[in-house]
Amino acid sequence: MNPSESYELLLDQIRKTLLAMSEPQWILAMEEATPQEQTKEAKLKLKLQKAKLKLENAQLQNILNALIANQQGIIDSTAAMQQALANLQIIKTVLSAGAVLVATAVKIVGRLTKVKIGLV
Amino acid sequence: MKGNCFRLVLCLVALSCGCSSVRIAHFQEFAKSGKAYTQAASLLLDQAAISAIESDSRILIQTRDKLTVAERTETIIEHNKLLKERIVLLNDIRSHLRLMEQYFLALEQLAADDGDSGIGDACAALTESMGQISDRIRNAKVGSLPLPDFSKEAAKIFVKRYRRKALDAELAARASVITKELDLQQAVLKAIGKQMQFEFEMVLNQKELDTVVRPYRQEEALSSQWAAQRSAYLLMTQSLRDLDAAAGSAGQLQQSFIALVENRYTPADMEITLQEITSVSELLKKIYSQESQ
Repeated sequence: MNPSESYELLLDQIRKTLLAMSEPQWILAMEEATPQEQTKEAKLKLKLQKAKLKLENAQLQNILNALIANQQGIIDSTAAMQQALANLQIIKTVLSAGAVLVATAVKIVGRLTKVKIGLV
Repeated sequence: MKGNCFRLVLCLVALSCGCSSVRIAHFQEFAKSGKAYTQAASLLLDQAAISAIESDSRILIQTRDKLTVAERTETIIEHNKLLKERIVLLNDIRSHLRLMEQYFLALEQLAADDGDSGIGDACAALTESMGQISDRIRNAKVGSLPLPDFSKEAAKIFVKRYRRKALDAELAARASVITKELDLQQAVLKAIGKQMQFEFEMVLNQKELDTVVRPYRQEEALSSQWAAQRSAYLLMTQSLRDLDAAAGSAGQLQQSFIALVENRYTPADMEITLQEITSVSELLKKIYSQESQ
């Protein structure tokens, strides 16, 4: 069992215990208990809740560390795609502008040719 | 013979264009799933912070009268500190999720080929103009297509091939990064899903005690709402079974990505992924609307 699995197992046990301590049967039974037992139960509940918060934070911190370690790859990938998109826009602009320019030139040449033929 | 060769080339070009279109459509679908996923996960992170605070407050309220003033002071300060740490962690995870959102947005933009018709139209206009100076060009056909129509399609194919090449190159370069990222996303949602499941069960236990068990135990007559409250509580327990969907959505997105990398992505992958993601959003709405009742 690796450390993260044992963390998770411990966390599961704490959650199960806290849930059992929040069930109606448990609460009603504790209402019948002595003040000392009630205080003991309250302190145990708080101890478990604090341990749960700490373990959950540690679990999220571990995942966050791994996410941060992977972060640069995501940034690079996004930048590479944005660059490819920018290149594509340039290609499209150049092709469109080139086509329009050539089309205009061809039209002028076409008219001149017709004029020349007409003169001849 | 020359004509047959030309037709064969045309068929190959058409086939290649068809393959590129299908592949690009898969990228578009994956980007759409990814964007939906980041939105659902962001919602889940918001709710995770709220539900962690509410659940802790519930326990503090239950135990407060059993503690001395000194113990209360120590408890509230420690729990506040831990919850502040939690909020920072969840915010950092959300910031990272924004990077994923930008990744899916860039993917969607690169795969979006709906603006490619302009370049095709410009090329068609060029060949039409050329037809003005030459009857051969005006009457020329490629297969059964007039030259302007052919040049329009050829320009679109060129751009489409560029898109596909860029998308495939990016996929090949960083497939392992994205697979790992989706694996980690699954771990985030699993951890948060379990926390929220616990917190929701705590709410249910409290509701059962206050609205169902205590009124039933007391000597006084039951209120007219008791039966309805009991039904509402029992039906709420159903939502617990759906909480695993949170981790399921990230897992499904990862499977879709692997299918995309291995070029065996199907529309069914997309459908399952979107269903999982939608189920997370629906579940959150359901839980919080029931809790507020």
